[in-house]
Amino acid sequence: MGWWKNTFSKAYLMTGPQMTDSPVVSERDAARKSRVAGFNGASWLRGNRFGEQDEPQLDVTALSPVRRGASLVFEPPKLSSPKVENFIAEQEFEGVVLSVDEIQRTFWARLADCTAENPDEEAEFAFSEIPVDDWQLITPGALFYWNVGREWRNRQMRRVSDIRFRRFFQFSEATVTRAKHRAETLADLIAKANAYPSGDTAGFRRT
Amino acid sequence: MAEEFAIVLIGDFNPKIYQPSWFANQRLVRQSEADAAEVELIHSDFTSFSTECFVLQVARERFSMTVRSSAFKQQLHDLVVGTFNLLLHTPLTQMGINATTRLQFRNDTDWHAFGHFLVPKSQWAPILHRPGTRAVTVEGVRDDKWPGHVAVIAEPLRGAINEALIRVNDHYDESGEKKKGQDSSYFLEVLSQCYDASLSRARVIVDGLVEKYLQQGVFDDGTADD
Repeated sequence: MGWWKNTFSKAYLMTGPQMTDSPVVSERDAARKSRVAGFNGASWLRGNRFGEQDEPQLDVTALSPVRRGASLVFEPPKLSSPKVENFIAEQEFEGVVLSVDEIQRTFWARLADCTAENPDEEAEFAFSEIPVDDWQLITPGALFYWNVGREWRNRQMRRVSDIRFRRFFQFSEATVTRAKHRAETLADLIAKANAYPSGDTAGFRRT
Repeated sequence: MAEEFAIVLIGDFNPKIYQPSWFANQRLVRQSEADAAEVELIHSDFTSFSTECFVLQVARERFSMTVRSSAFKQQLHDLVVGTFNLLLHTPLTQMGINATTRLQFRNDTDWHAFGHFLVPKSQWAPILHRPGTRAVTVEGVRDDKWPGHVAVIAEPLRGAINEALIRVNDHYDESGEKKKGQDSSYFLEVLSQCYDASLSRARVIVDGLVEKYLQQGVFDDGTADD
């Protein structure tokens, strides 16, 4: 078989000698062994002692780190799921607010299509499309993401249009340095162009 | 294919700080989102809560924030960068940018074939009765300037039929030039510069693996000599 049948718990896998059992384990056996060795749910903090450490822990920043070596291992409770269990974006735009009309409660934004190489578009949005908590963020220059797609909540799928303003945005030092360098290059080019007019203009002046 | 993204930081944390109300007060999340957060535990040793789109778990030595869709991956980046810009003196020593892809196979045969694709069984069949792949971790060196490694972990999805996970752990270590565990500035810079590249690398790895699997017609299940 390509994979071992996946009917026994992590706790069972850690028990050692049973690892040599047949990979096909009945659900009843697995449940029994899991009860014996598993986490009873009464305590949030639990220590497991592993064998002697013979190499450094390498996978500590993996989402489910592989623990190696001797140490008391903190085993956190199982990750709960965010309310949006899954979101499949069919269209993703990155937008920047261009202008805001406080009276009409609308704003114009330039949209860059993140899913295809389409030219930028401009669109008008009503404040009512944005969660009230984000209204204070609607100012010229503000960045936001607009995702159109399907989301799953409580195992139910629905079509949504989700606009989220970026609450914390900071360019890295390297990006700022690159932008400055590019701006300086462009400024030099413009200055040179002004100092040496094009041939057509020069010809016009001579006549 | 479904996706999950997480940023994991190793360092020295004070879990009690990381509460939904703190994130709302710092304007990192919407107030309504913080109000609706489901708090599992807030303790001086461990914090765990989930909001509409992310799950946060913080222990004294480990911070982990997870989102369940590519639609929220930029928010994940902004939240982590925003958090540690405010808590700049948090000593960090390692960082992982993790992308998990969930593969669903048409049937049991394809699912097993993927296991054989990852670990051919002819070497195992003579020494192990009905060998099966439990999990595979393959690690490579980084091809950029940052210290660390890239690990790919493939495993069957627990509790699901004919599904498997491919996790890509883009691991960043501290630079040797920097004093160890000083603050979070080094990893914030790495995150700002490498986040998109890390996620793109993960995409390329998973796509490449799946493509190679789809191209392969015959799989070594260890029964060739029978």
